[in-house]
Amino acid sequence: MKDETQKLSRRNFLLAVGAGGAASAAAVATAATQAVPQAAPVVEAARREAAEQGVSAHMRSYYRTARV
Amino acid sequence: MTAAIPIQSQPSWSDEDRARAEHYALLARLLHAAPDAALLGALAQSGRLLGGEDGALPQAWAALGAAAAGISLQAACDEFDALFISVGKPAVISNGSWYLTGFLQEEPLAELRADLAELGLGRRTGVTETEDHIAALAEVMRHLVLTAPDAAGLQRQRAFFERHIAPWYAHLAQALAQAPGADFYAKVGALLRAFMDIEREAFDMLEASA
Repeated sequence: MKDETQKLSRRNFLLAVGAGGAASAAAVATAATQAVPQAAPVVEAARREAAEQGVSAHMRSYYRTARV
Repeated sequence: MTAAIPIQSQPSWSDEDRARAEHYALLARLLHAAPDAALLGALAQSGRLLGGEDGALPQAWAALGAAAAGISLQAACDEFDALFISVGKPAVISNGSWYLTGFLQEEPLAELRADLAELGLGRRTGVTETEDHIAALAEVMRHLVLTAPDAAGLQRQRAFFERHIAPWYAHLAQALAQAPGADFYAKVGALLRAFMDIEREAFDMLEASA
C-alpha cells in the first residue's frame, strides 16, 4: 500500500513538471531515438541485454504508435 | 491438448519511465558526440512540443529547441569541438572525478567501476572515455530504468544516481553555461540541469516516504 502511494505521488510529480506522460515520452523520443545507435562509452552489457530482451524493438514500436 | 508455451516476462514501463529513459538517452547522445542534422531537426521539433514557460524543464526544452532550429550543423559541430575536444585540458570537462576531486581518474572513478561491476556493466573495448563521463552515466541510468522499472530497480537507480551523478551534474551545467562561446551547449546544460533536478527531487520523494 505504501509502495503504491509512493509510486502515485512520484508519478504525479513527474507528470506535473513535464517529465512524465506518453506525450512527453513520445516527443523526447523523436530526438532520443537518434541516441540509441550511438551509445555512450560504458554500457556494452546494457545494450546486449536490451537486444536480448527485445527492448529496442519494443520501444521503436511504442513510439511509432505514440508519436504525436 | 496443446503444450504450454513458456512466456518470458518483460519489464513493463510506465509512461514516465519511458520519458525518463528517453531523456537519459538524449543527454548521453548530446554530450558524447557532436549532433548531426537529423538530431538538430528532431530537437527543434521536440522543443516545439515540450517547450513552455511554466517550469524549468519546459523552459529548457523551449530554449534548446530554439537553439537547435537556429544553429547550423557546422556551427554546432564547431561548438562541440571547441568545448569538449582538446589535446590538453578541454574548455569543459564532462567527467565526475574532475568536479569531485579537481583531477581526472581519481577515487570516485574507482568507486564507480566497483559499482558498475556489481551491476554487470563495464567499459566497451576500445573506448577512450572513462566511465565517469556524463554520457556514460546517463546511459547507465537509461539501462537501469529500462531493465528494472520495479520498486527494487528504482532503489538501484536512486542509489546509483545519488552516488555518481547528483554530487556534480550542476557543476557541469554551470561550466557549460559559463564557457566562452557556448550557446547551443549552454542550452544542453540547462536541459541537463532541469532534468537531473527533477530526478533528484523524485528520488528524494522515495526517501521521504520510506
